[in-house]
Amino acid sequence: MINWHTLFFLLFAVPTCLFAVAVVASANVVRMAMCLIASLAAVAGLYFLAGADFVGAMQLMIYVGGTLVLLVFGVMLTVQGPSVSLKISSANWLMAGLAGGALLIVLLSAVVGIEAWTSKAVAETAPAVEAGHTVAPLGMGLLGIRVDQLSQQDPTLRRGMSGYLLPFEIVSVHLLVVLIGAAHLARAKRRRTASTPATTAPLNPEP
Amino acid sequence: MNNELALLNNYLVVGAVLFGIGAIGFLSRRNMIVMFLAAEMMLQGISVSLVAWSRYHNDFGGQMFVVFIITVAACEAAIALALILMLFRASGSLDIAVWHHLREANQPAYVDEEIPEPPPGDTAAWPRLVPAGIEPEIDREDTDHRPHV
Repeated sequence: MINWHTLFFLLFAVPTCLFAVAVVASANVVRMAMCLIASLAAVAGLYFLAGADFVGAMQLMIYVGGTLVLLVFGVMLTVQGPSVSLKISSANWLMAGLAGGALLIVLLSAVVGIEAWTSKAVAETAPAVEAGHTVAPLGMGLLGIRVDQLSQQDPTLRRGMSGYLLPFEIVSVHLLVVLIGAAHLARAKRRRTASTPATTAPLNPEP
Repeated sequence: MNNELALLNNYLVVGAVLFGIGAIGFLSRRNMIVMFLAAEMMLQGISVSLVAWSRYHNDFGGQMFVVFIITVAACEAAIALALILMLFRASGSLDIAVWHHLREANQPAYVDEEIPEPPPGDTAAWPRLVPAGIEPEIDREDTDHRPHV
């Protein structure tokens, strides 16, 4: 019998890794952005497969639909002509490959090496997450109520499970401030003419 | 049920691969937009791992972290692109090495290739507010430029 879970996992995981390699190996900025969009869409499929439906939908809407479209706009606003395609020197490749490859080996050896993560005994005792119903618990958690921990008897443990209302408020204000600041930074300048003298020092890097 | 059990391990491998590839891309490139793309990929590697932990421990905390990561990544994208636009306008180049003079004072310069010459100074001026209570002088060229304001 076909193992459907493994099949779907490979269906999403292989494109994720291949497009990620393509982002790093490509020499064209626009092609890189499109490969990253494909890679992140495949990651959204992995989220759905893990039962995190709300996070997967957020990934598709905010990342693939918002952030990367913004990024493509940035590419179009800045990149012109010769700098669209970029080559990097082999010395850069070598050093970055050594550092990143060493990090990758450490991470992979940690994943494979720890007994409890690969053994089946732990996973059998843990109940499987009920797939596809994460919106209500996440929303209540953002309001400060952990509905999945209501049966916790220990009052000391309950105090630590008070939900995420404060981080939610902080990140909301953060998002607002950052968007206002970004709009202020990226505002359009107009041509300098004789009647409008420069009021700010030119942003020239040379002293 | 066997397929459920291998889930954590598989997801952690995918997360580690995404993080490592992002790190390689971030270290090897000098284009600011490409470095930003690689940083986004590293964030995704962390998110995949967190979702896998969330399922493994049967707890919604991991997914909540991913929600916050996505929000902060959206903030980061907005501010990073605004900064990249500003730096591009100021120097005419996306090369991060143009800004190597921003390093700390006691650090030596590391420039592996020639930096291209910056273009002559920009001819644009920031928009500015007129003083209150005084009728602003109308710029002829400005009104030609934006006839429908």
